[in-house]
Amino acid sequence: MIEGLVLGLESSCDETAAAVVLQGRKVLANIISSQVEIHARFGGVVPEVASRKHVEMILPVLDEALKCAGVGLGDLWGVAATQGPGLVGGLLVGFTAAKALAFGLGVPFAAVNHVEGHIYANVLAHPDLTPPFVCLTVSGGHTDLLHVPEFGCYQVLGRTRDDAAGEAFDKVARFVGLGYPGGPAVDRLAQEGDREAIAFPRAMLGDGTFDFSFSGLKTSAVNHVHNLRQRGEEIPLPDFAASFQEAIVDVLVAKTLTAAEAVGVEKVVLSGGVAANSRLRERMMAEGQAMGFQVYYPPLVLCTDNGAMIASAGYFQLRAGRHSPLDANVIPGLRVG
Amino acid sequence: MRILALDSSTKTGSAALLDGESVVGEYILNVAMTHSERLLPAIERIMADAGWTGEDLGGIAVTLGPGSFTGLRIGMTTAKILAYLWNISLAGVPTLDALARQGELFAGLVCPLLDARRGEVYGGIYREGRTLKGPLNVPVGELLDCLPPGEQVLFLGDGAGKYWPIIQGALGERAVLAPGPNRILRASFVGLLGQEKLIRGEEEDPMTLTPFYLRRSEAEIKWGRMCDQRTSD
Ligand SMILES: [Zn+2]
Repeated sequence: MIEGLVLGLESSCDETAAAVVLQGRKVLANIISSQVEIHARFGGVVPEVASRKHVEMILPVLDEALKCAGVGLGDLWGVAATQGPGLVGGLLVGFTAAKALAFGLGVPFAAVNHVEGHIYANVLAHPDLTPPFVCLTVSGGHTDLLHVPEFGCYQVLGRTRDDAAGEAFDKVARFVGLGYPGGPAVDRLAQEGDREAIAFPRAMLGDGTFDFSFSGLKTSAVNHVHNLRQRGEEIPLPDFAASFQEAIVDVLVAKTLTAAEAVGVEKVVLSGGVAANSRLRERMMAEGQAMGFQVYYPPLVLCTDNGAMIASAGYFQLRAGRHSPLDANVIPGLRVG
Repeated sequence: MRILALDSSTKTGSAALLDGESVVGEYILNVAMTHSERLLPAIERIMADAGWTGEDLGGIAVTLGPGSFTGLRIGMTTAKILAYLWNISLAGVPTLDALARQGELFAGLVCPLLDARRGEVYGGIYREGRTLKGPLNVPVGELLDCLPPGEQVLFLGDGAGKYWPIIQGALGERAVLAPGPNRILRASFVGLLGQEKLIRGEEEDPMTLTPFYLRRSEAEIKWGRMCDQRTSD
């Protein structure tokens, strides 16, 4: 056994992922099998289709991670898996596999919160990063603004009241025929567009809360496209993408930095799939630094759902003595804080 | 050969240990608690009670399906991981074959039925352990229409109890309902069939094994209809 060697499994949405991480900081292997192409024809993730693919992929991905890390099963010190939030059928595959491994190997098991996992993507990427900090976790499934005074302690400052930011990207992208997933497509097109071409609403900006709402923006974008189509006009896709993206980024950046100021931290952390958005990274960094904050975000490979972030979070859980029992179950609606 | 057998394809969950044909232990729990919460504790318990570890085992047997999609995935994922981890053989056993085996001493036809919801069953027709028909995913009436005339028919599985009035209405005196303990699927029978498969050399590869769902997902059914419409246009 190698002290602190943790295998992390993640299967909450449409990636089957396994990673081997040493002492929560050093990634030895990070294998991700994406189902994006399978779900693209349906225009979004189909839970039953995803679950079936997870069962097929879990062992090959796990085996690949061990081989790539150059370690054997007997070297593992602990096993971690995502407990939620996510799609129940998918979650069950990684969670069941991790519990079976922990039982068979006689090592402890850690049930990890997925949103918490995303935060640990930054711990992996930035060895010097320590709390306290304010963290914005944005993806297709969540938009959470958290205060992290210390590892393992999460105070919710705000979260979305309807759609997640990534969900808004996906839905609007699908509506204008950019396919699934929408985020990367919008990001790419936006680089050639005029961000001020279309005046989309900035929901809940300056309302004194740290909550978000993106359904109004989505409706406004859909209406805009409807109107153009009715008049027989072409949709100026780059301008549309740039303006839509700017409306989301404006709110995310402003609320995060206001929150960081209000809480009185020096560090701002960005995580989750939408943390891969180039405009969000650029503006959070520029405006955060202008206000005197240290700004952190993970490299692109750790923004997407992965096993390394789960292994890292799991390591710190196990080290703190928080072992999960073999009769633990997944919690699709699990929240932090 | 020493075998660990698992089943979580229906509401009943079961784990068993077999040493050759002899059943060393069997655990059955027929309650409304998820398999995610109870399958691994059942394995842990039965192995500890028997004093067995992974090193004592030569193989693992698990139900392939049909059955509850989620239940099948939990059982199969557990079996795959343990077979990989202990480096032992893995056998996949069709759910209906194992149930039919529980009625093999019946002199007549044997009809295992699983409740597939939406008014349908997963079912088959067997005689002396051999499949005559199935596995099918149909309304129970359609399966009854497939029964050859004359002989008595033994019904097992959770679908047998649920559809008993319909079955009796259609077959009258010919229909026989298996007693409670035989009606639920027991992991010991999964182990028996799994062992036979392993002896015949019919091993599964844990890397690639997937459940036999019999029914496509809703999204795929809809997608299939869309494609059919397009090609018929
Ligand atoms: Zn995520």
